[in-house]
Amino acid sequence: MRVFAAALGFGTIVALGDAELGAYHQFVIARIALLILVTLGLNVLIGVTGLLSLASAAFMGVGAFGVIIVLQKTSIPLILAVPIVVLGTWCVGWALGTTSLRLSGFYLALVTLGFLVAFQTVVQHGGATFGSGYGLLAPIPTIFGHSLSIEWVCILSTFFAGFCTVLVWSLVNSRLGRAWRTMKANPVAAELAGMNITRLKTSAFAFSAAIAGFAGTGYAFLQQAVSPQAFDINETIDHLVYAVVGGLGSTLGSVLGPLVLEELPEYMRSLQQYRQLFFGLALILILVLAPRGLAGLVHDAIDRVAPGLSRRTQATVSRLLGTAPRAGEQPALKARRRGAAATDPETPALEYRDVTVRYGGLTAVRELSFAVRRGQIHGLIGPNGAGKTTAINALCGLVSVASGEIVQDGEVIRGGRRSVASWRLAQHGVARTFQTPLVVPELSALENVVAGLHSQLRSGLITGTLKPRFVRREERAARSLAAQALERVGFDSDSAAPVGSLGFGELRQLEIARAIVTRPRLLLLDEPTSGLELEAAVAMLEQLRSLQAELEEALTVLIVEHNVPLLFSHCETVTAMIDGHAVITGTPDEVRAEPEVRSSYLGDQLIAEGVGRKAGEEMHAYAE
Amino acid sequence: MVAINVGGLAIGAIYGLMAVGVVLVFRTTARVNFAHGEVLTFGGYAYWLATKNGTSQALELALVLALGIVIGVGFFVITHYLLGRSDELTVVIGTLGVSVVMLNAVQLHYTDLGHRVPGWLTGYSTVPIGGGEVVPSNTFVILGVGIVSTLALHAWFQLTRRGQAVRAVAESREDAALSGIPVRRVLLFSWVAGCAFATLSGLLLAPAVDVYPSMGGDILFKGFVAAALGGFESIIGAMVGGLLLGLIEVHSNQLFGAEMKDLISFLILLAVLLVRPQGLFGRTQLRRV
Amino acid sequence: MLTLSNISSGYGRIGILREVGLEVARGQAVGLFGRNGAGKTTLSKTIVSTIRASSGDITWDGRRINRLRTEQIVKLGISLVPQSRGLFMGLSVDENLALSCIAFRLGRKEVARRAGEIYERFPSLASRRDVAAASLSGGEQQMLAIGKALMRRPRLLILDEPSTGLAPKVLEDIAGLVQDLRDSELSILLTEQNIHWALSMVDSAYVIEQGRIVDHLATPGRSAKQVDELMARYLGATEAPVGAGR
Repeated sequence: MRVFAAALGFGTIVALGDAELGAYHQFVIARIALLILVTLGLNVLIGVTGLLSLASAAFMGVGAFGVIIVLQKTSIPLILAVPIVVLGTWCVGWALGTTSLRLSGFYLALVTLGFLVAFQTVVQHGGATFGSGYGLLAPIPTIFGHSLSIEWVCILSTFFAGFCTVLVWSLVNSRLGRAWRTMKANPVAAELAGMNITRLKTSAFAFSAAIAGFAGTGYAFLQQAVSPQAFDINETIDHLVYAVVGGLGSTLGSVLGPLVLEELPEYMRSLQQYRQLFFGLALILILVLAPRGLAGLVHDAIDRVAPGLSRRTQATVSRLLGTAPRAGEQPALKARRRGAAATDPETPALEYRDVTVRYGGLTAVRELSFAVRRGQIHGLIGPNGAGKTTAINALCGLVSVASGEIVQDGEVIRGGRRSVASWRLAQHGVARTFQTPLVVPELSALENVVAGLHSQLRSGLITGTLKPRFVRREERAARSLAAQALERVGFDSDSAAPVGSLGFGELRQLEIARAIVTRPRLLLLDEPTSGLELEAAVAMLEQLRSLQAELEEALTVLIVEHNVPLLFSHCETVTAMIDGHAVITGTPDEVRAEPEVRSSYLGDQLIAEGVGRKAGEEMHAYAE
Repeated sequence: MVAINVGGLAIGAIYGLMAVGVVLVFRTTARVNFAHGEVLTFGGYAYWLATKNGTSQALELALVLALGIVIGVGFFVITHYLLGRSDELTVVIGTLGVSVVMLNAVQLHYTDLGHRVPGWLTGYSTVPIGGGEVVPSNTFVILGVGIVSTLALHAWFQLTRRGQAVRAVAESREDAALSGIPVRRVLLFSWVAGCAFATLSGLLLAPAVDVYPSMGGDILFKGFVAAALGGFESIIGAMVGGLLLGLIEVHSNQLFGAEMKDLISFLILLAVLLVRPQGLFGRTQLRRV
Repeated sequence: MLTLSNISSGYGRIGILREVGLEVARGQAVGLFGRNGAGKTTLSKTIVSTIRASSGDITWDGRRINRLRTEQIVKLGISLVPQSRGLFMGLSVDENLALSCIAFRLGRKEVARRAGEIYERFPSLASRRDVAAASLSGGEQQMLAIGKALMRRPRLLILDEPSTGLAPKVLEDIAGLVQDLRDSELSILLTEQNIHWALSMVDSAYVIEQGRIVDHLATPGRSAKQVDELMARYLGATEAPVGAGR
């Protein structure tokens, strides 16, 4: 329980520090401590997961009003009331989080703003329970008969701030944290890496709400009274300013933000009235000049003064935490799989049966039928608009199948009555890369590949934070496997370096490493050589062939490619699609000789006229 | 009864004007301005200052609109240049920051005191509505200006070449540029027009609620709900959404008390965004993701 | 005259074009052939600044146009008909045509006159003046797209894969149109995957592969040999490749 001990230790140190201060400063620091708690949660939601919420003040208010109401109306003791209220706030946060499944960006911000507005209505006009618009007085907190003085409330607040800072740091650097970051970078890639988007979004909301609610309970006892005005839009904007100025996505930032922004006014008492104005300006300045906030500036300064220090610190921390791979330890993960390779070797690894997909008013794929034998490298070619990427997207669940079935190892995964959710495909042994490599910029190359193992790891929110032995073991195993995967694809850059420094070819390798690290049965590559120079493209396909030969279990590969000669020299079988339909499936020679294929490339016969086709459907959808 | 409906339509027209301003900017720039309420406030204060100095009514209007234009240019510079490469999240947070600065600037300079102002064309006159009830004439000015300006704007978009150019930019910046349409100028125009609508709303609203620092911020949320009812893409939809929202509000005030109006707006917003994201008038079935 | 030298460009970090150089002289029709993904569309977009070139020079009439905005380049006389056609779907044929030359501040009469010329060239458009662009057939959309570009009386017309999604009959019409245009002072840059159709329409042709210019055919004709060679590039050599099959 190293993390727990570290959190206890840090919390105690900080609390002791607070105990040494005089009454006034004790109070100020305690207030800052509560704001740090809220900012930690908000940072997880906005900075790590990328969901914009304006409801933080409301959640704080739910905790504050909630704990007072529970203590007043029931005989539940404080020591139980606080956890109950926190749990209640968790549930409310979870409920609000469900709106984020359909909305994002500005629309989500609007709905959360609405929630804040609704909360204000309730506490202002909810009657005597809420103080009839004037708020409520907090009862004196008592634990086991002893009442806590304000001094003790301060010390406890500070303790919990320190305690939670360590815990949140650990959470952000766990399987869940990686998943949140991956989802923020690209939800589609996250789903196909086995991440359940629904669970990720609601858990982020719930967590940030709960920790804000917890801070709210502290607030109630610190201020000894709660009023509606304390939890309004101005308060929420303050929270936002702390998070952004401190540094979005950084735990250090969540501490720096409130600390700096609340301490400074202490020294500028005479300018108190300009506080909010100053906050607004600080926000804009940081966004324009230093988007990574104070934490970013600190990191840059450290890198300049002591280059390599932050890397070495990270490595040391990993070792202390027990997540760094150990020499001599064999990495092993208990496989979490659904479905299995069919026992009969004749069963195709992948089969499309009369699959039809309608997309944007057009029939992008028409009765597509072809089969891929186990262990083959199978190419998929066709002119623009032929439906190749749509066919792959259908397999991945990104578009729905209008009719027909997609069958993997004899099991229907698309079409029919049962369809496998996109995020479960990883457990079915399916992995995919994209036309543009979808990597997570905040993670290192190694961590990007580790993220691919999401479906094979078991740690959750609590276990990921506390990191008990089994979690440490699986993290070690995951990192070893990731390093091996990178080696296998020929990645020879520094895997701990930030992804931003990598070249395009290396990003492609990274994506493939992430795809193969789970030992998939079926690997889908969508135009893997686009953007690469010819040499690099050839090297990549060679690497793929030798990789396939090395693996013990048969790996079937389906490649969508435009560079036909290149594909022909590396594939055993090929399917040619024209106008959404498979025209021929066979060896490269057979396909090359097929008259319809030849003419589609030369253009003697082209697709029959139909409704105006918006060309470019198959065009490369490069990320902006 | 008539007075209630007229009042509801009037406040709805304000929501609608706010929404039109928001949608004007959003359609071409895909950005939402969370400081839109403060722009209305600035318009209100400008009108108050103009009336204090005894200027003609035409000049009052001109000053308010000119302020809107200047503010619009400012927002264009901030969002297109300073935050040009930032993602949506950052720009939303940035406009929140600007709203804080604007609100506090007004509060610090003019304090929280409310200031009474006469109706723009009508002064303090009132109009009887029958049944012994009386309503400020400003109410009708709000309705008239709101509806007329929205229809005029819509007609401009449909019928004039320039208006069509703006619609083209809203559809595809790339294709518009390929036609030689000056995209940057269109974006600037959108911001300027959007902010002018906001300051105009301030001029119209001020006589009804007095001029005070959070006059705009208080109703920003309603403006957004009205825009959502219009699907965030239709000018007419935004105004109709606003009028509808205003009517719902005054009637719910009767039924459930005035305290519930914000809660009702929230529920309407949820219903629209989750159930029918294209609003009442949007054409495309969009997923807001 | 358009000159590209050493142009590299792409999307963000993805480099598509590498050190591309080509020339289109006045009155010339030049082809750019290559399979999908080779960089044809990226090249046309780079010329009109929809995509910024990361290095190299693009000069038009001796003037460097790399850093100009798209609308400025359009006003200098370069018009691109993109592969996606670039139509304003919500507007009618007439409105699309009128909007396409808005930057030139022509009077109503002049706009109507030029539109008349377009309708003469494309009779099927004339009978659908008030039809929304979204309701036109594929061939009509392509004609409208070309018509929009012609409204601006460009000096360089870039056609990006015009044959996409068109029926053989329509292809004939378009081929005829390009022939007409060739006879004027207009320069044409035609990117195509469909070499069979395009080869006869150009004075010279470049071949692009994996982002690089790999060949320049000075006098292309319809010789079977050349077509075979080009097809070999597209589909690979005719002997069995090494290592295929297990």
